[in-house]
Amino acid sequence: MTDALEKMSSRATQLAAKAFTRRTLLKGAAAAGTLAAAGPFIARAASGELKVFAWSGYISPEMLADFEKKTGIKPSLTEYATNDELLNQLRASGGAGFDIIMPTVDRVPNYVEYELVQPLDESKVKFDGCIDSAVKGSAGMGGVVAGKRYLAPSDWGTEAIAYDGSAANLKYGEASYGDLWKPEYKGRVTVRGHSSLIGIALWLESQGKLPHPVREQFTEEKKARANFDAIIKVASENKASVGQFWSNENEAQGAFRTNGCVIGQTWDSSAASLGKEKLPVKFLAPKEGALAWMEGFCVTKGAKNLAQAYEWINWYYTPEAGAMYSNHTSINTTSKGAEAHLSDFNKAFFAAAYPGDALDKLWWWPIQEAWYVSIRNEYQDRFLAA
Amino acid sequence: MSEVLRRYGPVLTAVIVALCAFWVVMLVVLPQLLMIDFSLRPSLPPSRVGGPDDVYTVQNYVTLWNNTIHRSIFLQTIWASALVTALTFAVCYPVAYFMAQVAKPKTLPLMILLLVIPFWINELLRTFAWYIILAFNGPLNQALVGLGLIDQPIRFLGSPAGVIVGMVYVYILFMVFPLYNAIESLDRNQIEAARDLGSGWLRIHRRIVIPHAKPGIAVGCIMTFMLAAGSYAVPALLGGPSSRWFTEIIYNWFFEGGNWNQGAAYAFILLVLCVGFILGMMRLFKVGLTDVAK
Repeated sequence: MTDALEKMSSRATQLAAKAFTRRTLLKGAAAAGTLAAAGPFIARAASGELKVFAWSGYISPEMLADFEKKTGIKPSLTEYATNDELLNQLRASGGAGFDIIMPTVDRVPNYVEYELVQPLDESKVKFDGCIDSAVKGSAGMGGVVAGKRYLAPSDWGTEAIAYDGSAANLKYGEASYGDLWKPEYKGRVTVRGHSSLIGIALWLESQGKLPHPVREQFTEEKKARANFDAIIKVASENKASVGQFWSNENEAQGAFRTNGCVIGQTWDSSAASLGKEKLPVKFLAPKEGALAWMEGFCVTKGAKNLAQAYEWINWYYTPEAGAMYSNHTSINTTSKGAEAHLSDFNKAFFAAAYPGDALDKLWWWPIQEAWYVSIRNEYQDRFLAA
Repeated sequence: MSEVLRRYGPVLTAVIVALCAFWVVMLVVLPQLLMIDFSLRPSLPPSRVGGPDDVYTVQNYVTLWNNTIHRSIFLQTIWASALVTALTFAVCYPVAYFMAQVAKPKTLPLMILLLVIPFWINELLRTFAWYIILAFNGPLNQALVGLGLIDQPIRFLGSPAGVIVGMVYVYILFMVFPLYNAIESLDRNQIEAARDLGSGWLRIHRRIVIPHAKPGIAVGCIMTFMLAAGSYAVPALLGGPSSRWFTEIIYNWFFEGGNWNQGAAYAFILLVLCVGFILGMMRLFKVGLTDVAK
């Protein structure tokens, strides 16, 4: 099929070349003249600009240059460090100012509730460039709200255990979220306030010490409070172990780089960045399952460059663009066929992080609604103040 | 008012009044009113704004009263800001006195330049510099361990000491210049007269220099205190859970809890209580508003 297409197109090119005479050249020049006279109106339809609001460290200058080269659209990038920063920034502008954003899938319902994003026109997105399971899976995790798709999945990654190989030796199958609180790491642990509480929850659940299953605390306020009360007790007892709390990529890396931490619950990208700098930091999924998240592109409600936003998504759904993203961040892209372009470091990092059945055990973040986020925030506060 | 009218004529006077009114109304009063309005409403998604749940309530203020963690962080912030102010004063007073009364006219410009140069760099970058210096594996710890003064590196970052050091450094200029201005206007003969009459240097400062410089001290202290209590960047970079600042709690309500109304209530309380604290201190030290205006 593709061969036939190629032949057809090359035939068409040859025909066009033959038909290319001086007369057509003159005609073409005249046409170009009118085009130039028509000025920026036509040029804008063909190229234009795009305002991208993405996680800090996600979109490399090479990616921006490649997008501009392939589409003629001039992208401008602004970065944010947390989901909540993105959400509240958009709330302040009423969903305007940016065309495309990259929320985490479980938080998308928040954006819909605050009327900040618009449903995607699925006929304009080339979903066949995206891994099928990601498209399907994202629907139940928040990507589809009230029957309308809001998110085009772009990448997935995990939060698991990062450790300094020279100070700790972890084995897959034995390593647990509970390892963080071992006495030998006292004062040298780094965690994120709210997600470490979930790490502790999974650890307690595996020992049968949690009042309700972890997943149920995301659905009912009473269960959330009962669970959090049990979690916060363990967390407070172990607070002295924490050397530094992190809340964004920069702080998580700083904990290992300059602040003497040797183990922690961090994003995969944090450990990978340190590993790329030849620091002995490794990353491993614990036996309770790595906390997995998925992110994707949403189009904002006030997007001014709608056509360009879809161009961006479709450009990203090419193997080359997806691989560029993964090689830059060490986060896994959902673009089909990107594996072939991945760097050796990335392949090795991925294999070491998820040995055995680790990929089957991934613990996907449930949808976090606004009421849950506010309770979560309250208990994080108590942990920090403990 | 008529004096202004006589001096500048009706057109220019109208422009000046209009600009002042714009400044006060649009940039000071309206935002504050908006914030108070925000703080008195519950946090609701857009679909329910204006609905039956959208009523005035003091719930957001009650939250702070009931939350023992936030209450203690608030008191800690006031206390630590006062400490920052006192330390900044202790550091700046000798410098300002030296510049105003002791330094030769030739060396004075050089001293002022040396004080000002670091402040050509952005506050955030200077705070990052402290972050590097105070880090667990940072140069300060390495030097102390290398000199054999300590065995194990100390975790300066995240401790109240780190935040206070960072703040004293950042706010030095806001203290030095008001002090310098005030001390500079003191006639040197008064100091010499006091010395001739047999007064010790401590008494000279206590009885002559400090009373004379009181308005300058008040201005410097008010600026430093308000900047410290309202600072976000320094505690966010150099602080940790054991040295949380009230501004971080406000930020947290806005950018993590997503409850802007609650955040507005907290911000308003911080403003009111800081102003109250300052007025109380001014009364305690018998400084009038007119002194400060000088």
